[in-house]
Amino acid sequence: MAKKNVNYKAILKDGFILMVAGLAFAIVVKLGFDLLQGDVQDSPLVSLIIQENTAKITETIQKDKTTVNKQDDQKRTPLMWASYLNYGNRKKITAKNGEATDEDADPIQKFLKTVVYDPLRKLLNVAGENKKEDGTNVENPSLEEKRLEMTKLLLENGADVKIVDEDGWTALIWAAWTGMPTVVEELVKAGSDVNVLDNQKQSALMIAAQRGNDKVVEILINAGADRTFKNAAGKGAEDLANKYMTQFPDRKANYEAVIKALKAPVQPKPVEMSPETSPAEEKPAEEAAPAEAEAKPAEEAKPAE
Amino acid sequence: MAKTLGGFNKEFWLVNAIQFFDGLSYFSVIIILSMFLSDNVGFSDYEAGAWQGYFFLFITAFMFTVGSICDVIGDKKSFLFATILLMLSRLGMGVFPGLMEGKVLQYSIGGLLFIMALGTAMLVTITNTALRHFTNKDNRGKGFNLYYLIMNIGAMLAGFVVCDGFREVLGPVKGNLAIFTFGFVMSAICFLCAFLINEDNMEEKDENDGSGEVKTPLKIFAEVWKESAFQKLVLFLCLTLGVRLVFTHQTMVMPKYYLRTMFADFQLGAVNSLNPLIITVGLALTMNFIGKFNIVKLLVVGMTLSALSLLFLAFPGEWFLAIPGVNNLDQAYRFVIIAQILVFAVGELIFSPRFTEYVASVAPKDKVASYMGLSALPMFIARPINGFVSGLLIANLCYDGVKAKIETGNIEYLESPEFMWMIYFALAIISPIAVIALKRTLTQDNAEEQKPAEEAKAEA
Repeated sequence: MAKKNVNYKAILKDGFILMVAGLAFAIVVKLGFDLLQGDVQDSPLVSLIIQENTAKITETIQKDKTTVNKQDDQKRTPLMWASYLNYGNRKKITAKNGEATDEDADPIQKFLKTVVYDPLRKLLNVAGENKKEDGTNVENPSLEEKRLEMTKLLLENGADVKIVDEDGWTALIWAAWTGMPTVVEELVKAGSDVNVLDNQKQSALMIAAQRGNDKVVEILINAGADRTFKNAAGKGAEDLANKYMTQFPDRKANYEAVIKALKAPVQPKPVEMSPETSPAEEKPAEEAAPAEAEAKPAEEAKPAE
Repeated sequence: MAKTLGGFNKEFWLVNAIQFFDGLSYFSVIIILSMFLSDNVGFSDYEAGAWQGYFFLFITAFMFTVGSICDVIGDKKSFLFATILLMLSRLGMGVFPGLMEGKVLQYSIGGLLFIMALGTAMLVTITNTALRHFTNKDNRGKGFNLYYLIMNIGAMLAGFVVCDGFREVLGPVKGNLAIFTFGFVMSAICFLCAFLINEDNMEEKDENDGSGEVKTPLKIFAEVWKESAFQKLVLFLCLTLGVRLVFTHQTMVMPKYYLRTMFADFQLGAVNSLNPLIITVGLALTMNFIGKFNIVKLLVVGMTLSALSLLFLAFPGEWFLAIPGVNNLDQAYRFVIIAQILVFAVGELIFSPRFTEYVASVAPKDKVASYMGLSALPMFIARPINGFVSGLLIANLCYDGVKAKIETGNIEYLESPEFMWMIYFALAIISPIAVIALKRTLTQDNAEEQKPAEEAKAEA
């Protein structure tokens, strides 16, 4: 091929000028937008929680103790992040090896599962063919088990269960919304107030009832959650469960279990409180978490630090 | 010259293979880039938006200059160089989050984004050039149609197979890393394909081979900026900026919006596959008769549809509960997401080809290529701004966890993702209104230039 009469320097110079002009412009824009956004940095623990990097969580807290209760833009703490998951197929939260069956999946999801996901799972050997010494398969923990481990770790390192976010949600309310009974249990043990109300005057029990998280509802009732509270719209936990049961017929059985638990006679069986975190350990159960406990609005709960 | 399948030579198919395999990676990476930057690298939503803005800025900046460089070093070397850059950057992105952390990781990923942008700009440019080189006047039209079809098939598969497949099987966080590692493998395959290209099989060489002086973008700009046709074009480009930025929202804002108003396991890739599907089928169906309509009218219709599509997302979710079959907020959000994609895709398929056509029609006959190249200039300015705006809006109105607050009535409209889309809608709808208002200015000379414009269109 014949050589072209090309001025390399001019091309590179133009590229460089454009690059510098672009970057200079971007920096000016950044300065302007930084003023709008403010200087709120997420806790490094949040990324580690999302990445399920439990080992690094301890290391990071040990380096800087303040990270454990550091709040983000929405005033959420790492403990709240650990208590939150949002899966459409909720069976994935409790499924081992990340594999959940979903009988209610729509035809497209079923098609994708057969044609794409299952072959890929086999190809990548995700189910884990690793064997234990006794010859059985090694099981990967479920998402809930991982979150429970992180919750314990954060609590051991001084995570405060009483902090609320900008909407008055505690870590317990986040766990109640998500539907992780073991995490809820752990937070209650650590001294979470089951009757804190958010800015809409909703308790963890109401939110769990609305989501049809029957096991969480049972734990909260046993821990002394008040079933008589009404939210800002005048709806109680049972009203919410009834309303949402019509919206989510596929979760009818869960909502029915919620309503049954809400109607059952009061059986205060508070979850055992952890000795380090609960000053109520020597009090009688009813006193520690009385069913008729007065509701504490979020504003009275521990303010953002 | 030896022909193979479909009347094209081996090199044509190798170029298409590169485009297909790279498309599998590029389109899946683009879908998950914002999540990768937040979840795997630890950037806040705001920073992730900004870095995405930088990435697209780099691509636009490189596109101005790499064309000249590719012309000089030749098709094969350009392909090899571009695929090496892509291999390095994608492998780094797949592996670095497991090896480093904190600021070191964040700046390393920033550097890799820079390299990936250079590789992407180079590959896009050289693919278009090589397709021209490895086709002739008789089969070029068919060749470019095939290329467009193959690219869209790649985009579709990247969505529901690559993106959804890895994220479903490995989980959202590890899935993101696997998508980058997969991208590395695809780039390696592209490298092998590039290695097999024989430049002696060119069907048509550049007209300026041997003597032509390669013009740099700033030199072209200096030549044309005083021309009234160019000033008219700049006005048109600025007027349409609002709606053209909506196109970048599909990659910058939508993925996080989908995951946060729906679920972490939402079929992100599958919904992204709808767009190329509709565009491909729609173009095939409308190709024969759409040319009969006035360009500016079609531009206005396309822009209006694209802007209006955002209204689905801008109205409160509860409003859609009135639609039969929509019983809860999950179904309402699914409905608005699909509706937006469908209407937006129709708008895009009307607007995008007409946009290129308009640029070609206003350009003097001998400067079509220059005008086309410079038409990307306003995006060069708009992309970083859009990155910051998207980051800011996502961080404040569409943060992770917003679904919980929407469901429980803790979010007012002004704090909701719907308000974010209302802002975008307001920005986008300015474009068709402004084009209608200034239609006379934009089309003033077109009647006189109709004949040359027709020729220019054909050339473009």
